[in-house]
Amino acid sequence: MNPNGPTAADRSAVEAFLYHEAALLDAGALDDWVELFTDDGVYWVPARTGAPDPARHVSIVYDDKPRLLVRVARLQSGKEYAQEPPSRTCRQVSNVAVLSTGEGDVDVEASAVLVVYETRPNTTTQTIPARATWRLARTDDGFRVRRKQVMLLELGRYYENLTFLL
Amino acid sequence: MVATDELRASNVARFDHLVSDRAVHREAYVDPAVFDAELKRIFGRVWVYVAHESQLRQPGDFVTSWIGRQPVIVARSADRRLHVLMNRCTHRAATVCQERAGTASHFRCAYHGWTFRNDGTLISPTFGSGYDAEDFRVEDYSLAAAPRVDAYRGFVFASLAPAGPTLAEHLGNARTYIDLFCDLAPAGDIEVGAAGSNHYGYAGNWKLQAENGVDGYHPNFVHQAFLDNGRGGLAMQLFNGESAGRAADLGRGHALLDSRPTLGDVHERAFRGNPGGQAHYELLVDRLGAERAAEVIRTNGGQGFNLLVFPNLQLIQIQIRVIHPRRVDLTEIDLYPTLLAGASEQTNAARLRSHEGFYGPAGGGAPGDLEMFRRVQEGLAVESVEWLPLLRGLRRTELGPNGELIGHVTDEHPQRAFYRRWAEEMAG
Repeated sequence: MNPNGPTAADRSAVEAFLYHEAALLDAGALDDWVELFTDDGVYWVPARTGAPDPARHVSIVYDDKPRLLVRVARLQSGKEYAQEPPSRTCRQVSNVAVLSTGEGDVDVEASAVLVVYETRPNTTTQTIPARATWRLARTDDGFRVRRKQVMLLELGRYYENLTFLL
Repeated sequence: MVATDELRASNVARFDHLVSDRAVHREAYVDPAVFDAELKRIFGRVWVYVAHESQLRQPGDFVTSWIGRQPVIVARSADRRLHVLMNRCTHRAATVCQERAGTASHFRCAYHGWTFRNDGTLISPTFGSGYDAEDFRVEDYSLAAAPRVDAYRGFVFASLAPAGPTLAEHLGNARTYIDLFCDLAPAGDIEVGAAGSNHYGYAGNWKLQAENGVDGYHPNFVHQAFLDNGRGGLAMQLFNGESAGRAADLGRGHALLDSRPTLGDVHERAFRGNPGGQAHYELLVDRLGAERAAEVIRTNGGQGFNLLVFPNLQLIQIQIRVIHPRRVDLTEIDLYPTLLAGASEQTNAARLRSHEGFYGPAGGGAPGDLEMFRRVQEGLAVESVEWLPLLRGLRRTELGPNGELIGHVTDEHPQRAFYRRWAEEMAG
């Protein structure tokens, strides 16, 4: 950990990565998005607040990389009817905070407010507010996602469709 | 089929003409008058699942739910009795409890401060000198309670009718499958609520989910993207036209999809091969004997059956699914994935991952169903086509040893079972 805390350059690099990730999702470039995850990466949408433990608590999504690859393939198969026609999304990533900069093999941790607007034909636009946290591995190719956790603000809500990626 | 207008003219208060053993009329899904009658005649009378005792182990524990649209509190009082209380202050009608679950000795209405013990009794009205004894007796203002409460294997049901069939009579053949569901736990105890819950809803009638949870005809179409791995696995064989699986009308509106004839010992081998699985099996053998231990693992080690308990409870894979009717065209659903008390952490974690893979609002299966319900409700706006046929497998029925009507897993015996009971309740 940098004893002086995150620098403007750290924040700038993290923000650039998070905006890139958001742009891939909004563009529907799911094959490119999933490759942002490390081989041991996890995409996690908990179903409860507090300190959820995936071994004991059900999640909305708890995908390791192999499951995430299957999910992305299914969503694009043309036979996932909850995504036929597919969602259109636009999302805001804001209040980005670099929680720890790590160094060497130690991951960077960041958080942001994430608001996803989603619509499909014949449905009204959903607004999905969340607080997201990322653990980012430093690699020769830049950041990769070791873990992305999306904590939905409305966990008691009776969602009709959360099959798109947050 | 008789024109509905004719029948309605002669039978103003009846709705049973909307179904037969061959079809359901569109008005059953779109008419607000039908929906209102369902709330009174079905949810207002029959045994409705409200909680599981594992959520209510200690005095003071409570959960909230609904019987139809009526909000209820299920609470265990200091004397360890269970109470199903109407969540409605006896003064100005405000709900007195806002949480889905918790622990409380009292429920205080925030509006004017009336405070009720968790057995429903009112302590006293606030600023009590304003009430004259001639007009007001405190014992008359307890929270209203469901007149009948009973439980089977920890599943707590309530009936808003003071008299009627017992819970055991109501459950009938469904008990066999509730037993199988629970017996997979080493000591026979499932944990409900400890793992949390999933919630989803859709802009469609509640009966669409009731039908669908025991519909073996749709999976290979709606869920092909999930089931078909392109390598010819077992999943696409569970619900095809040649499957060995069975569908059953269990009587009293309850119904079953049974994939065990197709699965054979697949789940048993997989379960016992998992970390902790063999030790789990041996605990089951100690409690149940080898034959029953194998049976429960073959059945619920994975997804061996789907059970519908009329009107709105389903047991599927590891989940308890409760269907809440909100409006004629709006439905909300709670899924409670169960943990097995005394099972290894790996076993329970694997159950949760398997559940998440298919169920919940981001699962690989359930959202496809919701999309179909939305499309059905949209299509039901067509008025010139009035009936939805339930003819599949009508003439290939076997009689089971307990009076079950059994057909092929893709047949519509479950839907006919549901609507026969529906019509009985809706007749008046």
